[in-house]
Amino acid sequence: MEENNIKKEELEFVHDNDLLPVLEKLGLKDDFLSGKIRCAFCGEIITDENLHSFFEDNGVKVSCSKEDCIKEVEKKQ
Amino acid sequence: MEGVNTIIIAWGGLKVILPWSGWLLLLVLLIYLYKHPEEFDSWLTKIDRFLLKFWSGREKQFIQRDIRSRINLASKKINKEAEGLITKGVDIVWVNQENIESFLRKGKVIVRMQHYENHDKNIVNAATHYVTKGVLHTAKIYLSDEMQKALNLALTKKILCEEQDNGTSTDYFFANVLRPALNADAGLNKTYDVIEKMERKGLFTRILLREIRLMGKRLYPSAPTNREFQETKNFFNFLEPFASLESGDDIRDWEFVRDDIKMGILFVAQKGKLEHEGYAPYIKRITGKINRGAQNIYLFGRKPENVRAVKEIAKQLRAENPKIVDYRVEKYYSFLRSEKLPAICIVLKTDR
Repeated sequence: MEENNIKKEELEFVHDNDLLPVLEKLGLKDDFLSGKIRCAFCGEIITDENLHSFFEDNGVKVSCSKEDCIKEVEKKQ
Repeated sequence: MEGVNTIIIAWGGLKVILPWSGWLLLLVLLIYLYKHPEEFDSWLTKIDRFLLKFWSGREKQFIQRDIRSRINLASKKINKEAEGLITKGVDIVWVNQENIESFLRKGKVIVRMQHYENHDKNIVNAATHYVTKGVLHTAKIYLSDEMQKALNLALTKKILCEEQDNGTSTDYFFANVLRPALNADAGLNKTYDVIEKMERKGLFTRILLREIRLMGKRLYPSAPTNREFQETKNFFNFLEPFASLESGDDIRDWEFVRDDIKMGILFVAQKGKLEHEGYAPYIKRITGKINRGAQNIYLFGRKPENVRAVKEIAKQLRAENPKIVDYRVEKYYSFLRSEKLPAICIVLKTDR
């Protein structure tokens, strides 16, 4: 029979309850609240409405929720 | 009097049996839950959803369990269609201020999960994230960008549609992800349309993704070249007419034998052919495919008589042809003009 030994995939999420403490830990909270953080791909200002994900790429980067930006961020892993 | 005695004896027996049957029932239930953790998760999700109305402190637990059970149930079904195609589901890890830096250092992408009011968006984000990360990760690099995008969309839709939640997350996906993506790109729209036809015919996971996965397994991590891009594109085009076929009464067979993908298809469907000529013409065709280099032969049949024939043809071939070293049987249901019919797909594998 065919192999079926692929392990479960771990997906990492941050919940909205932890969002501000996480931003604070990453040193991004003040910039986020004052609208100074931009999407690493399209340059759009990151807000509470469009924040999609965090990743590392020579420093912590943030992606917005545009479809093209989500596709780009998925390539980062 | 005799009747009363019988009842007393029966009651006496029941009193002895009942405690044992209670334990037995419990044991059966525990074995079922052990063997079907996805279904157990799904039940607990329903309880969590109910408790959430009174206690918002359970929100993270609900989101975690709901997303995990949806994806795990769907991946179980998909792996049934083509074993080993995707990971055995997911584990959800919550990241917070204590551990986010270590996850980022490991190169992880941390996706935001919003409050329960945006749960459809959460589910779609999680399914998209999972499909991109956990499905065909060694094979996708040999596909064109357009085909990768179309496969990701089709798989995300498949995962969302497997779960019955009144379709709210599926509606969200259609309105906010799928339609905008297809409307913006005519090429993507066309490729996605063909994949949809393949899915309806049962070819998407059973043949397309399975063969692409096997190709990736052989080639990964060598860098993709134009040759591989061309081969996967040709393979996709080769499957298209089969996906577009209306119900036919002929023997339908094809083969695609190139550098990395070597396979054949045979569809047992011709009315009267089996009665008059038996299995010999089918066996001859399959043997021909194997001799020409096909390494996986997919035998399809629907309706009881054709399902029986497919099983018998596969059995005879396995007994007579030493090149066949393994096989896989999948029974499923197929629709023909709204009629639900039993169907079968047997994959015969030859020594490579």
